[in-house]
Amino acid sequence: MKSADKYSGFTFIELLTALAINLILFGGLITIFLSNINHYRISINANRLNQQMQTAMLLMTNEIRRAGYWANSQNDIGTGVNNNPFITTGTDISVGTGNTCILFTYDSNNDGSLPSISSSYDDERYGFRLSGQTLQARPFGAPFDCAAAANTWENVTDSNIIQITSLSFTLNQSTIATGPGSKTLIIRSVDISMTGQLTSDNSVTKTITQHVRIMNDKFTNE
Amino acid sequence: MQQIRKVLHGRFNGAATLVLTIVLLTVSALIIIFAANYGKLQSKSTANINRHQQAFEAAQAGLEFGINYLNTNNGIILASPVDGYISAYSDSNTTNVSLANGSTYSISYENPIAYNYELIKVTSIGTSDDGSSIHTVSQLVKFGSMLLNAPTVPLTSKGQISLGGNSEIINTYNNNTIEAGGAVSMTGSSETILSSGTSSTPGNIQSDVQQNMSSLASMSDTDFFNSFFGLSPANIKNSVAHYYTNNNNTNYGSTLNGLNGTSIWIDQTGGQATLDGSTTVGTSSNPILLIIDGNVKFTGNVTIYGYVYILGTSTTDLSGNVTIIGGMATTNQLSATGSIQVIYSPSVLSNLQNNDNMRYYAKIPGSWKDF
Repeated sequence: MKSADKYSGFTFIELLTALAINLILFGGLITIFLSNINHYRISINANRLNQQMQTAMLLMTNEIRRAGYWANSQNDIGTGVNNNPFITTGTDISVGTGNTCILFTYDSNNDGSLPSISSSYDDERYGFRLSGQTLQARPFGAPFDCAAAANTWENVTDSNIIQITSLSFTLNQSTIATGPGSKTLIIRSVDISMTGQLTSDNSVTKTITQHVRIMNDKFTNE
Repeated sequence: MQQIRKVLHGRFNGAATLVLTIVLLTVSALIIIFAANYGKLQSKSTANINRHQQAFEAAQAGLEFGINYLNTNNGIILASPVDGYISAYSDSNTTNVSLANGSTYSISYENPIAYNYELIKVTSIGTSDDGSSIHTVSQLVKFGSMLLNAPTVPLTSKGQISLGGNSEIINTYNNNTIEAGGAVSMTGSSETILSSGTSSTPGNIQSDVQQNMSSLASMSDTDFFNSFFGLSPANIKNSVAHYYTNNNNTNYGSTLNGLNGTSIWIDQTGGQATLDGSTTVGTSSNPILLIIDGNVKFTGNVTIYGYVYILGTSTTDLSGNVTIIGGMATTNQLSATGSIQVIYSPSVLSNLQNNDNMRYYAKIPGSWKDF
């Protein structure tokens, strides 16, 4: 009996207690595990949103900054007029459709002239806008118009991953008198504000803002 | 049997916990590794964007510096061109210049049009601190001067001009001596002189004297000023080298005597600004720009090389032996008596425009690019 006592197992109560403790331990472990997974999922999603939005913003600022560049700008010196085909009515930087759309042009091929609209070459007209919840850019040949049909402009952001919930362009202008009469230089800048969310998790949102100085000032004599 | 039960219920129970713990920990570790890698990728991507920005900012800083550097060193930078094109220029201020954040820029200058050294393309290449991102920006700049548009007429006035005594207005380079928005009256022995000799005399005003010009009379005072300087009076006043202001009769003779190669602005808010006694301001090679806002009286032996501009609803009274070599303009009326000579000199005006203290390079709007 002594030896049997020595090797006697747990009592039923002991067994239940052990099981209960194990259960609590399992529960805790699984909870920690799930919260870990969830934490990293959110972190990855936030990163993804961050990256997509930064890239989109960088794309816009780099392009918008160039608005109004003209290879023959020196031809206007001393003439008192602005013949820059990239800073004239219809081609100068403009903001439309409730500030969610921006249009501008610049002389990307350095030839001094603005070509006609065509999809077979860079027609030097550019634009960004919010269409639904997608950031769109104007491809060559598409209508140079904020009201162009949604399927005519190219999507920049992938709506399967992120949704742009708001986008605004604010065009700021200040003037400097530069000569007799109404000769003035207009200094322009654009403030861009963009808010996006993850399509898979609308609770992950981000707003980024950027101030862009248009490097080519506008001379006017009107 | 008891032993088996213990093994079954005791040891296996613990083993299950252990196995599950290990499995969960392993999965957790894998997820952490994946997330960390993704985070690293994201950091790299953000760092790339930052470096791109850093390179751009460095390039832009270099461009701004380069334009100012051209202003102060154009003599060296534009020296010894080859076949109409300026030679590559490099010194420690323009090549691999480090900024506080470790980024660098290098500036280069070129003239796009052969033999034209007034139109310069400034290019700046910015490099991020780790050298991984490079951005190039360029801008065309055009030579300019405080006296932006040098007139080709010795004497210009928006108002009336009366010439008396022995006053002479001389232009031997072209056939224009006076342009006035008001009437020009000539009395005494006054005359205008062209390369062909005496032209207009009292009672015989020739075509070299343009009077009652509506284009001048209709201009505002500020526009008249702008047509010479390209900027408003306030802007020019802010950038002159010598500024004086007085509200009672003041003789600036000794103050201005001997000044050369500089710009002078006098605000005479009351009384008269006079130049009296023997006063020489400027030289042929180092002329001056003299702008006076108020009533003016030049008397005595006054010689001025450069351009004299009188602003405001003032009267300008020239008497004594006054010689102005270069040119003169007044916004309101001017009367000259005594031995006055206003002599047009393109070389003096050219030296004035090219003076180191008054010239600058200005950005041409529309010429900035980074591609």
